[in-house]
Amino acid sequence: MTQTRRAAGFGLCAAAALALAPGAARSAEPIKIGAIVATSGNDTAQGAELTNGMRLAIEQFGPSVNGRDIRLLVEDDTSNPNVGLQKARKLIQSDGVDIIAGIQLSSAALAISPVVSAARVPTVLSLSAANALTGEKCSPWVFRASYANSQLAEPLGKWAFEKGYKSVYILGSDFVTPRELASDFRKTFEKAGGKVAGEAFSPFGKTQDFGPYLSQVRAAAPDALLAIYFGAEAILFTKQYESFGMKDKLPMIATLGTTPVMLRQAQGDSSVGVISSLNYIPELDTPENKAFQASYKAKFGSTASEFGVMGFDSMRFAIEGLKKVNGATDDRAALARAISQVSFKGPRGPMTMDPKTNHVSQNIYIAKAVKTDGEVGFELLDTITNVTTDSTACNMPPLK
Amino acid sequence: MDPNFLLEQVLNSLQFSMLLFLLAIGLSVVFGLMDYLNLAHGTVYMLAAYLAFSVTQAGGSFWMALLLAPIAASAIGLLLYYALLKRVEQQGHLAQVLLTVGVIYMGTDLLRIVYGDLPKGVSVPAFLEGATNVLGVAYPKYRLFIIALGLALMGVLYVLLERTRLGALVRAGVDDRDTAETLGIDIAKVFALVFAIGAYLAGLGGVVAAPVFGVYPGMDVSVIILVLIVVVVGGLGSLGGAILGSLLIGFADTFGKILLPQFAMMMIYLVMALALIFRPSGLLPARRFSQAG
Repeated sequence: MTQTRRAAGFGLCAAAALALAPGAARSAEPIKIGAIVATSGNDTAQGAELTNGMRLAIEQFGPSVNGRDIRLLVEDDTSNPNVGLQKARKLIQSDGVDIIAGIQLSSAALAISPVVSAARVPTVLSLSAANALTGEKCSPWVFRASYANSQLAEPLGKWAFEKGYKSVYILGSDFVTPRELASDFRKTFEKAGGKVAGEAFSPFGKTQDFGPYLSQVRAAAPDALLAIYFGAEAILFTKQYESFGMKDKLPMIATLGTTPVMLRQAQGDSSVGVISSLNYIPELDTPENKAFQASYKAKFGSTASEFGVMGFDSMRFAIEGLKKVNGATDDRAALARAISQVSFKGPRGPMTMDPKTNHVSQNIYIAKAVKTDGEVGFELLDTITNVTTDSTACNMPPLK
Repeated sequence: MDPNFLLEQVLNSLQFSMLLFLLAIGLSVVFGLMDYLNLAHGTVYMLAAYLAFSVTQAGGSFWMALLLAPIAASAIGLLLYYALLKRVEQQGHLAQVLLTVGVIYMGTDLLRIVYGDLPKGVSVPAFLEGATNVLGVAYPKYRLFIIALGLALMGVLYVLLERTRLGALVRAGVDDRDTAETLGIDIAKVFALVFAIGAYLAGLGGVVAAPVFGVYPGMDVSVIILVLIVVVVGGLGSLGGAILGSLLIGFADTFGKILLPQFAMMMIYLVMALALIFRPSGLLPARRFSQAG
């Protein structure tokens, strides 16, 4: 009895070993991609969409490259740039990832960029919009598949002047992103002949009442108001703008973040009529976008906003790069070079990595928030095609 | 300065002052009466704002939220007091701050788990939407409603604190707790009642603020600092102090933003610094620190 049981045990072990051995031989070492996103803290909602987009891209363009499975290792940066930097070191040193993706905060990206460059790990940014990342601080190892602040604000400045807004008052939150967007807007707006009627930046995260600023704008009587706010402040601002009855008299223009898809419930009708400069709207009428939205909805049960798309596209850049080198990750320089040459037509339109800056050239959409059948959505007013960034700021070091 | 512009900014200041007042009075009286520094006061404010969101989401009106949420906030505030806060009542400010800051973190994370971390909005009733004409200035109706509500509550609280037996008990407790207790007043009971009323007012503040300020995790922290400054400037435990402090900080904040936009935050701290230098126990304290010793 005991003997037969032991024999059976051996038999099972042998069978298991036999079953495993060919499998182990067949599937090569997986390709490890580390994603640094926020799964806790202030930026969790964007982080969740970015991660969804990445997973969908792996499913559609992977799930393996030349027999090597793609494994996604998600690390939470807790919406804190210091933690983001620690997580980048962890992914490189203890997990030995081949590629890093994600990184929402520009401050985190600016700290991580030198680390991944020294470790020679190709990194595709899914958000982090500070111009410097693909400008003065550009790196041959760091790619950006999201947008640069200048890409949104410069076309908007030109567009606003052409639309007849000769004088614009700028209001924004007092931190680096709104200030950069405002100065990029001024660049093209003033060059076209527009006049900035005034500019004020409210203390970030400490301003509850925007009434005083709005009263000031009203007193200056400009043709339009440029508002640059994010998150909770964007809600407070648009609601207070509406409550002052300014909507009919003073048009509001904005950049990505002031009236985003994610805040629609909270902003209600207050965002209706606001014209924004964006790198994506869910309503884009292209086969690529329709297919993307359908598959996103089937998998996650909701419509993807710009964050879902940026997660999706950033992972696609990584995978298309991997395909160009047939999944070989040993020659990191070859992999980085491959990513810098990727281009495709995605949900956002044609996407081309510009090797001079390692930043993506893309369409910018000027869209107005409208209400149809009780639902707020975007109406596309203008498409500015193939917007690049200033490549003179980037003195790209050689890849070695 | 253009008179219309000035009027508009005065209204802005008043509106902000009233919201600060709703939060400050509860904190101030609890601090003054029991020497209890309850930072979880802000959590009650945030909780009420979320409850108002839930009520309106469930199809209830804004008025229903205004009726129900503060009562719920008051009940939860009282529960929190008996279950948790009472334990460190005799252990000084440090223990109280540590415990109530812990409550703030827990409250924020709990609300985050239940409601997610995207900010939410609450709509104002239809007839308070948009702007109306005030002496030639188009001003949001809802903000006028806040000012009116704030003034009305100041009146009610004045009567309650200065003209009723309960008010006399509270003032006696603030003035000299030991003597009041010797005279047979059950200060613990009075305190619980004051705590409940304070939580009710914080809840009311949360509901009223929700349509203007939005509802989001962390909305408590962004306002509790200002409220603490109001209490410090106004003086502990008195209605007059809370009113004066709220007005001073409301006006300093608003006019700071217009006159010195680069130093917007500095104005309120300047007011606080001046108050601390020249009137360390606040402008209208219920009692002086020297006597409290």
